[in-house]
Amino acid sequence: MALRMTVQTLLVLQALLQHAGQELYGLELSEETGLLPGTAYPILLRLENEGWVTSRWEDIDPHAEKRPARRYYRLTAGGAAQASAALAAARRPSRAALRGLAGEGGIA
Amino acid sequence: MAISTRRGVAVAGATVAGVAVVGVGVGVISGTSASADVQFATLGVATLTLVVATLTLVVAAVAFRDAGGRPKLSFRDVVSNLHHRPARRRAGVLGAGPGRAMRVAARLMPQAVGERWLGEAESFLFEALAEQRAAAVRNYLITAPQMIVAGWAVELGRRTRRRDEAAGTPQKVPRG
Repeated sequence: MALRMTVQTLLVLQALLQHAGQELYGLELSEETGLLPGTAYPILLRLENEGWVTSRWEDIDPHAEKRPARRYYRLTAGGAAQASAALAAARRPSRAALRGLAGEGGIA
Repeated sequence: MAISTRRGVAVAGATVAGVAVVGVGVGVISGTSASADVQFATLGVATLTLVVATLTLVVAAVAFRDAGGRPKLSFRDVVSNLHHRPARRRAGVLGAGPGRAMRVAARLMPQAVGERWLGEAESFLFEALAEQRAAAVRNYLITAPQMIVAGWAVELGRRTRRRDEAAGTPQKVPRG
């Protein structure tokens, strides 16, 4: 399955890259990206399927902690490299956009 | 059921209960001077009214049952609604978990994906602020069709890889 680099996907990757050494759970990811959890979840599923991200259930007793277990996500080593490349590519303006600007006289 | 209808049912229940109390009072008072037949008839009507009032309150309580598989409101909540006070929202119970619609959506996903989706939703909704929950549930439901498609795509990919592994053919290794 090819990974589509949408703005939301890039936001998730950016948040995970900023905390590359740590694991983030749903609420933290939602706060970091500004995305609602329902939007972030299919992205995380695809990233995990592509091997960019790995996840695990928190190992707690929900009754003792009085809260449900969290699902933690973090980038894999390969995923971090690919995420950096994807974010760098997204920041580079495309040639077509530059040509368009040049045509409008935006760039001399 | 619309909120106004629920409130109407509750008010009707309260009115009937009030009439029942008055009926019992009248029955007791008239019992002192009236004949045995009149006493019997008055108490009968009062008892019948009380039964109707109880049934109406039960119907009102059931009508208050919140959508999405959440628990019924307690008698205290029903009574507080009669006084036009908002029912107490018990933290971590009302509005905190995935609703019935989300459970139905999860059943349409592959089992493992659906269980994980529900588990994460439960965790998120438990920890999120009360004002974030409604928007989060809406978002979960809006993206559920996308999740169903993505879930089945992942599951089919997994099954294909497993079949290829079993057949000994080279399979696509996940990138990274």
